[in-house]
Amino acid sequence: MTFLVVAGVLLAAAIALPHALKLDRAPAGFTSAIWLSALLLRALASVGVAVAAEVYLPITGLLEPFGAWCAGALSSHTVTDAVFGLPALALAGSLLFSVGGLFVAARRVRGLVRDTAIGAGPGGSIVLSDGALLVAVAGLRRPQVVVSAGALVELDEAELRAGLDHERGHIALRHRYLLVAGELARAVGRFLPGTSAAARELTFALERHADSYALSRRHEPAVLASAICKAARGAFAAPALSLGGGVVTRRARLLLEADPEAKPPRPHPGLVALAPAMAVLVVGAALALPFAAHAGYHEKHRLGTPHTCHASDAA
Amino acid sequence: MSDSQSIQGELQSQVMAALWRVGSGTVEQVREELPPRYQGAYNTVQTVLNRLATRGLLERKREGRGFVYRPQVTEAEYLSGSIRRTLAGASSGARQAALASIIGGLRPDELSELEDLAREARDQRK
Repeated sequence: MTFLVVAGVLLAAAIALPHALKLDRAPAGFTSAIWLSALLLRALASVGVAVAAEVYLPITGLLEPFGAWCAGALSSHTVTDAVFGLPALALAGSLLFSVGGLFVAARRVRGLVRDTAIGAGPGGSIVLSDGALLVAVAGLRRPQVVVSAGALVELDEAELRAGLDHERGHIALRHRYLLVAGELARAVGRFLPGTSAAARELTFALERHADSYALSRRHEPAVLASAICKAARGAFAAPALSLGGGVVTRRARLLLEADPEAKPPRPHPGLVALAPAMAVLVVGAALALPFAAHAGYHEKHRLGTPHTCHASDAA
Repeated sequence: MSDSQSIQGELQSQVMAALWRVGSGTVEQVREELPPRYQGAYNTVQTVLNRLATRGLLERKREGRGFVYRPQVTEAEYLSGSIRRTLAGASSGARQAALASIIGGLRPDELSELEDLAREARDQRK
């Protein structure tokens, strides 16, 4: 039990720590890893809470007064057993809803590209006839940069090239997989406070990572900031991994404050250590969870549940 | 960023609008169709047209001694995509109010044309 308490405290500290740190100026690759790890830890913590509710709570006899209620009971379980299973059902429902949402979004993007593509654009991109300003990555297995006619009309040459390199950065750095993992983790961890903020920070870190990629291709920060602001203004509902995504004002401010001549700052040693430590914690928690659940089931059966339904009890 | 870069987007919009009005045209024809404020040098308009052709928005065909430029995307496609996406993000009430406001501003002949199109769309769905 002491081990579980220590593990819980460690998990809570690791989940809360990124929110307490100022990561805006830290290298975006590290911050992406930290926020994704934090989201995965939130998901694992939520699963842990759901397992604890199903395994440990019946032992406490919390719903003892209703324990003998066997109406409509399945096998030898009481109706109150189903109550203890509600958190797990809520997590499963949230995950299924999120998977469905991702599937629908992917189908909508495929449909948009199929219905509105008019041909090849600059730098191997696909031009969409849409007048809204959109530069984005479409597709998970075979990602492609799509650029709307609105973007080709509104952006000047330097802005367009910077925007396209930003999107190529998303593809080269494989951000789509991190985004999907983050979205699924957000769905499972959504009942913990701060999960939406963590998901937003992950998107921000990924956008900043792609910004760094574009700047490494010798684009001026002010030009990229201008393209980002135009894209954010032009897109009413910007999809994920689009030029105007993330927290635009923060991204633009960081770009405009950056000295284009200066070398990128060396990350703080603590930060360098934190990213892998968080990743190790994620793996450790994921491996420990089934064992903790298994031990809990043994404990439950050793102590016995307060009530068990028999066929004759069922209404 | 230089001033010439900041107005580049504006000029590109005006060139596209001019081409949508005339359907297709040479550099000089497009230049004449531009509002006076944007009627810059011949070379400037030619550069913008060539850039839009390179970007895949215009088709460029040699005719006689010069080139004729034609839009690859119609004005209706250009506008309808963004309007549809904007309305899709709005609430049902706001969507109806916005459409009512647009319809309220139409001329009688445009309204009857719109009625015909609505009837056609309804028939196609049956």
